[in-house]
Amino acid sequence: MKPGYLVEDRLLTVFFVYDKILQMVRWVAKLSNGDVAEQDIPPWVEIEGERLPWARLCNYLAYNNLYIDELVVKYADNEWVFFKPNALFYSVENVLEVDNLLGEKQYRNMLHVAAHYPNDVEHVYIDVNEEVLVLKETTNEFRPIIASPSREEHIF
Amino acid sequence: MATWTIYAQLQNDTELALNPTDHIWLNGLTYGTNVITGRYQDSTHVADSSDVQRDTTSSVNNTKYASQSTVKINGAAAVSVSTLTSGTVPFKFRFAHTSAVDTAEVKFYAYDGATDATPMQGVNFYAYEAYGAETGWTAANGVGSALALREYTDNTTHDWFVAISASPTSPGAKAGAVKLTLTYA
Repeated sequence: MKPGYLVEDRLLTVFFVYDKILQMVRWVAKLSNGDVAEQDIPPWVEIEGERLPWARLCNYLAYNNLYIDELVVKYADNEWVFFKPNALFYSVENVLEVDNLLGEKQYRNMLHVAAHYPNDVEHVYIDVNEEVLVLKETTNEFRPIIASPSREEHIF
Repeated sequence: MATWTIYAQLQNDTELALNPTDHIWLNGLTYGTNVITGRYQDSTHVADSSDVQRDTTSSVNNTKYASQSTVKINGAAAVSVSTLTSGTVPFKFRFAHTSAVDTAEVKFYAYDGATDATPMQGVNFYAYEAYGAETGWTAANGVGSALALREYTDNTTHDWFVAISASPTSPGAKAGAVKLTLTYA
């Protein structure tokens, strides 16, 4: 086998994997230092034995005294901006639903993204398999599992 | 990557991993027999999508509602529901992830199959988690009355051990479903 073919195969594999990632529903965080952190793009990929990318990003932000300036959701070439600007902080969670538990089970996986403001919290729930917005709502309060560092702590 | 598995826990202390198309049956004294109106199930079983019984070697643990605070385990006399252990309930729900995650907002409930807030009609449905110090069943019919299951922190494996009991309040087939939802990060 010619070495060139091997290289070509690997390149094709890389492009195929990257193309698959770009088709997935994923969060994209625009950071206060101008950087962009994107789910499933290194280093914000799932690593066996380590916390999920969102948890690691929040730790990174806290350690480096940064916050998220804007959080959007991407699917393929679409960028969904769901939230009004200047949220204090954001949260990202995964929701698993197992319906008809006693019969032929149906599963739904959703991405729950929330923007937290001084007086309310805006939520969106996106079905990551169907790639559709399931619910958009505003609540008075919400305590997430892991929240990003607050913008408020950086205003002097 | 997340995975989800339901195990039926058998009376001989083994477990049976359910296939996605398997069904849980709440029956009279034996597999396939009806539960009499106003009474609770006397046996619990697993069947495949063709209704062929799978728990033939040993039946699934049966937890029959006796009163708000008592249960009959596998046909024995009523005892406090708080005596249920992880090994004597009929089901183990396992959520696993290759990363360590926190789970929260874990809810288990019956509903009419269309609207989460609407209870399943014609059925009394009770649930209990064998964990902590709860002393009574939860009438988990409709999301507003859901049984809240324990939350885990920084784990790759999250197990919930759950007992259920149900009773028809009128004759005939009932429409509805049982749902579990959880959040993780």
